[in-house]
Amino acid sequence: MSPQLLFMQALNGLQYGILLFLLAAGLTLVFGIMSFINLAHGALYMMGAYFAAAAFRHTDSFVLAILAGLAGAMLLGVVLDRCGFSRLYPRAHLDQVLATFGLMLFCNEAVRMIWGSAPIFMSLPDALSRTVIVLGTPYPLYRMLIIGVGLLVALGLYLLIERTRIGMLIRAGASNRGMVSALGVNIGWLNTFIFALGAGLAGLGGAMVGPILSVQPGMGDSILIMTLVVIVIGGIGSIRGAFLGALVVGLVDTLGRTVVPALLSQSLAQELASTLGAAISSLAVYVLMVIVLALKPEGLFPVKKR
Amino acid sequence: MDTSIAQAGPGRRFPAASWPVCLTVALFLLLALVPVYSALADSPYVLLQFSRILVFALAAVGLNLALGYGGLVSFGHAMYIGIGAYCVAVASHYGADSGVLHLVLVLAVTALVAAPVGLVALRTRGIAFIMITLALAQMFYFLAVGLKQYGGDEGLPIRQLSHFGALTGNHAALYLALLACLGGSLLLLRRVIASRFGLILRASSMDARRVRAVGTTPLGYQLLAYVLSAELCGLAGFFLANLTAFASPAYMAWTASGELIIMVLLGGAGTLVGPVVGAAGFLLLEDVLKGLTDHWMIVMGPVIVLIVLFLRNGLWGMMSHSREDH
Amino acid sequence: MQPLLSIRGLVKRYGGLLVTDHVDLDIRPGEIHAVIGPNGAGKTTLISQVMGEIPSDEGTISLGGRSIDALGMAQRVRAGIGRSYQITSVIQQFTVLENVVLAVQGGHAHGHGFRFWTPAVRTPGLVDEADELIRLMGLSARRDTPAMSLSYGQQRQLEIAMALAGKPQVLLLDEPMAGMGHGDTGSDMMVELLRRLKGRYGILLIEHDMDAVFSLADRISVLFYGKVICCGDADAIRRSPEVREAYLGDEEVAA
Repeated sequence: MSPQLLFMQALNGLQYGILLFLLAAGLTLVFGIMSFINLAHGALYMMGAYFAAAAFRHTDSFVLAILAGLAGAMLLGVVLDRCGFSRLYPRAHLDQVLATFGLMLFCNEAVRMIWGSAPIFMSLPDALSRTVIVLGTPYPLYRMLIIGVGLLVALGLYLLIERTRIGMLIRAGASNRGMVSALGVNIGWLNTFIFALGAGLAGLGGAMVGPILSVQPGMGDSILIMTLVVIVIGGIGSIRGAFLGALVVGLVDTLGRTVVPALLSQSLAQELASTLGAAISSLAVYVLMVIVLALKPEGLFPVKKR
Repeated sequence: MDTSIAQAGPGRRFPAASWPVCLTVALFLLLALVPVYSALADSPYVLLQFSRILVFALAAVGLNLALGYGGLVSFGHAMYIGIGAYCVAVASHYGADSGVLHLVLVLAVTALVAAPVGLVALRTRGIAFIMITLALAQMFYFLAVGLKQYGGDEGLPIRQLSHFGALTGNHAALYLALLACLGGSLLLLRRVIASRFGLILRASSMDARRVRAVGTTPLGYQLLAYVLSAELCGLAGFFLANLTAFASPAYMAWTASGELIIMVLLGGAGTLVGPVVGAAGFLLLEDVLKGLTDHWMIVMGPVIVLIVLFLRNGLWGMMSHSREDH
Repeated sequence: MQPLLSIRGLVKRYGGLLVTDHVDLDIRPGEIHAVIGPNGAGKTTLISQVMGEIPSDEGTISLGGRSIDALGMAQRVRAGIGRSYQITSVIQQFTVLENVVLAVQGGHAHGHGFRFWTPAVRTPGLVDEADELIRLMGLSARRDTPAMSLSYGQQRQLEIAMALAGKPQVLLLDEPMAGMGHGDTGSDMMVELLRRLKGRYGILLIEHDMDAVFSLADRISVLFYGKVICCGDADAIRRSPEVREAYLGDEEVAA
């Protein structure tokens, strides 16, 4: 495998990691603050993609499409929080998992009913379809854009959490929920804000990824599992953990799928290499998770709870 | 927990005529009549439908040991159904079709997988445990999808079913064997739950610190409960493979694990017979909805949400006024 | 006489806060050694460290002359320490019998718990011991009652029964009289119980009820912000100026 190809795959891994971060940040925030695990998070990602695709079809404006995905998911998040999810916040985690699981099934089917089972494609405007040269390697501009947007979001989240009043409330809530509420903060609206923020991030991810993946029912399911792995590895409730965990998982998964089979086929017989390659590449991330948990059961950057 | 079963002191005989026992016996008698009805009404579909119900009833009973009594919320138990099915399928693929061999293989492989998985998962608690079991099940799902020579995501058809002499492939025999296994598991579980092991397990699910404070370490007991529950699911997979003549990664999809939990909850987690009722209720509902519309999932999703919100003790649990175990 | 339990130089820090400050303490066979001090002085933390629930930063703990620092909580219990909790931690859904049987089976005399056939509450070896303890606590009438249906005082009694069930040498009792009023069902009963236990076990007693402390304790250690500021018999404590100062100046300590 040439160094150039390797570098390209590394960039792909980075881009996938950034996408995972957008999803993981929202999921881990919601869990850290409200102790609410939301399996329908993948559905929010999917809705973001569908809203964006629908908006693009009607307006032909890429920017509007992305905004529609982001805003639509955010709105959906507000509605979910205000109209029922709040009932689930105090319940046991198992109840939350199952209820949001049911919601996810409903969303997948609803999307199937409205838009059909066939994948929808969102095309890229010409301006964004170019390639750029990164360290001597040609790479799609759009994917670099995704990386860029993701890093901006990470920076924005950092500033929000570390430098603003709301961020302080979020940090306080993450380590001691009861105290924040006892101090008179309107925990209800804080919850809605956090939930909407998380939903928006997921929707943004879905919207941005529309042009490079196909938009179809159930697209959120597999990335949801990956997101859960990211959170478990990074430390539940920790944004820093979500960021680093996402990058690690993105890289390991992408490189695992591409590099490992290539390496194996150089040294082993073809059939064995492809079998082993397929097995190892899909397992790489899970093996990583098991190793991390064996050494640090709380994840790499756990949030200290009082 | 159905305390009438677990609670008995000297001089207090277990009331054999108590109505949960009567109801259970009646249920099993009815179930035993299904092959008869199916033959008389010339409707093989009914037999197949109820066989499927029994498969998932067995799996749900298994999951209930870990989840209902052990408090271990495993979101990946469907993977053991898949492992059981694939053991049969892969063995057949290589020409080994002895029924006994299949059974031994299923039980051995399931234990070999469940023990390390359980050990890793039990290092965590709460939501992390749920997510780890989910992720590990996904790992096996992708393994099955990725192994193209065993069918990949299209699954592996089974040309030779588990050979049990003249009974091979006989659906009525399969059904009755399933029913016998289900009944046997319930009887065995009844003793295990009331035993010293069961006492420790139940206590660990309610207050692990308290168990440590009396000098017992919960881990070994929880791990064994996890492995035993996996074995029952593996056994269910064995039957499923013989029923459908097929092994598919779809058996282990995480959504399948979710549905298995719903079945346990619907019937009543922490009751002995609840999972059987839950599995039957869930699958029958699914069949009814499928008959009404292609988009039955649109109804099933909200039904699941409603079950979680309002039927927390489950149908059987409500009837026997069980207390919540969580 | 070698102490049953020996604590030397025990330290616990939470960040910059020194919660247990180089505590030295020992418990002699048969004595009741009370630990008193204002709220927040670190008494429960001390007990949790001895039990192994909270890891210590420095210091060493020995039981019968042998160090138990490397042992986890369950192992320490098996080695001979029993604890009752300040906030009742019996298993609410279990009956009194089931709770006590659970505690009995954990004792080192009963081996491992991997028995699958005989119902736990009908295992002769376990139930006989459990019934004896239940009788000792005066709970025989409530033997098959779920713990959640017991009165507060009865739950506290059950808590003590469970601590005794493992046949420990040392008992760590964390405010056994907490929340109980006076009288036959209240703290008087608990004091009577403790008087009966004295001499058979080495007891570390954390209590706020000064009447009980002064009537029961052989020795008293005063814990103030994690530090033992005084240790001696009841008279020594009453006369100590440091203790007086620690307890808000000149509040008269009951004779």
